[in-house]
Amino acid sequence: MLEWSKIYLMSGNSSQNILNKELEMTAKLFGKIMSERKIIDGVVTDIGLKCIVEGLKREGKMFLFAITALEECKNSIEHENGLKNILKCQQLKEKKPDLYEHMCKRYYQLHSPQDHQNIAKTEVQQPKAAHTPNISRPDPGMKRENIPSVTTPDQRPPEGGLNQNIARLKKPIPQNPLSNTPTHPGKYFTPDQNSIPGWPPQQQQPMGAGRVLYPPNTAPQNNSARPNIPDNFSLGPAADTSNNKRTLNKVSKEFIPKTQQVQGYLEKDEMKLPTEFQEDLNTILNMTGTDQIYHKAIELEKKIKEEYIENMAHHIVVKRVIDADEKRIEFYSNFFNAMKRKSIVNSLINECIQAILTIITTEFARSSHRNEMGSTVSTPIKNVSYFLGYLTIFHNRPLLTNELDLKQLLLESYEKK
Amino acid sequence: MVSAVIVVSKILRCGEYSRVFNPYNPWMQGLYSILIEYQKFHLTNRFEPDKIISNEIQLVLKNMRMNENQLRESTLFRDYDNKNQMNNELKHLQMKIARKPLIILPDVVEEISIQPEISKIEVIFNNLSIIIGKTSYSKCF
Repeated sequence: MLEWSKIYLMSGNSSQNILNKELEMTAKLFGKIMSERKIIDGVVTDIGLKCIVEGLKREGKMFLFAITALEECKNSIEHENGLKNILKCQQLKEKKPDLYEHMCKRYYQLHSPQDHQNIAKTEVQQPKAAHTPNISRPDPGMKRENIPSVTTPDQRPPEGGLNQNIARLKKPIPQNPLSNTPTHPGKYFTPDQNSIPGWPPQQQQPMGAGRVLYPPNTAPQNNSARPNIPDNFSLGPAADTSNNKRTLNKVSKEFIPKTQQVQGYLEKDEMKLPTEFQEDLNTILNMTGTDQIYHKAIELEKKIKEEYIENMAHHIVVKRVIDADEKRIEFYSNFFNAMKRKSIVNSLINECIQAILTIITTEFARSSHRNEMGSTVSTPIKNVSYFLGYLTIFHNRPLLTNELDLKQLLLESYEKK
Repeated sequence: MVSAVIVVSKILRCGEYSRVFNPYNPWMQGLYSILIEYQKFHLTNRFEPDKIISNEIQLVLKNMRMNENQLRESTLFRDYDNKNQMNNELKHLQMKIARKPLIILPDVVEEISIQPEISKIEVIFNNLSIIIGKTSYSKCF
């Protein structure tokens, strides 16, 4: 945009004092962008302010461009050195006194809030020095009339003069950490150290963007927005390291030894199913043909009461699925998916997960079932996981992570191997 | 680890002909990538790789309709080994394991059964004494 404005400025078609529409529009746009801090920040604002200051020092189109841009962003400039450099421009004071006064007020409001009130008091006593800002000493070549006044010790007012304001400037300005801090002055607005006696104050650190000044011993150690997560995860209560004692994991209060765990799981509520229902279930599940699956499933579903569902699921997984073939497992999954009641399939899934976890804990996977011929047929964990896969993924049903997170299972087994 | 890999591979193999959970499903691809990582970086580098796990993973990858090169390897196990805190998935899983573990194994330190070894030694001593006795007996005669 600056290049575009330069092209317009270099073209001398129009008169010097009248700004073209396009250039005016670009100047307004430039000022608006400067005023919106969300769009640009940091060094870019420095460059923009430098452009405005240079324009104010010159004459013609550049001056008009700078003034139109400054009018747009006059309420948003918080840059201390930038404001100082703007106030140094004599052309602004002569040609646009209203804007100059506004910038003076802005400077005092931001960087010395009490200065403006003090100036108002001194305005009555010293009307000539009313609007002179408390800024740097001018260059020797400049005229005396336009120099911003700096009061000498003799001219110091009895109470609350400008020199006291300078002394107040020496104190570090309290910064609100949450507020948008002014940007780094950069190379364009380096403070002239000889301009004001005692300036800059001892605190010579640049007012960088995002740099927050904290009192000693109160600065936060971590500036990241992420929550402070400890390095070591709390992996439950630490186990007893004494080698001579048998210790149980405190997480599992009702822990049962491995062998009892499996036996207890296999014998759980086996006898609660009524014998008639159990016989019907066995006869239907023993059928080999796949043509009548749908009819048989509906026939069995009518006989299943809600009380039986859990025990039936346990019976099917433990008695049927563990010793079955892959084809038979597929048949079972198709059979139970043909049923309309979802609770049956859900209880079967839960039972499968429970079976898998108990078998994993007992390290039952390695022990393979051998038939009478002596060849390895399948392991129970393979069959149960096949059944779980057929019940869920094969029939486009998700395996919820609340029930069984496979990634967690892999990592946990890798961790506890 | 063997049982976990078997469970995952068997479940994944059921999704070969599924409409939703086919190998192009991102959830499935995440699990495939973990298996590929385990095969590449943990089984191949071992002196004696576990044949059961390697066979299972190979079966899964063979039946997959995609090439292995199309899948991106995960860094779950490597990050776990290197204790990399930047992996958010690993963090999440570790938190989950800490809060709600799937495998609750007792921290039982198996007592060394000293008695059978002593009995073996006793048997050896007895045999030796018998042999010595026989020899001495034979020498006597």
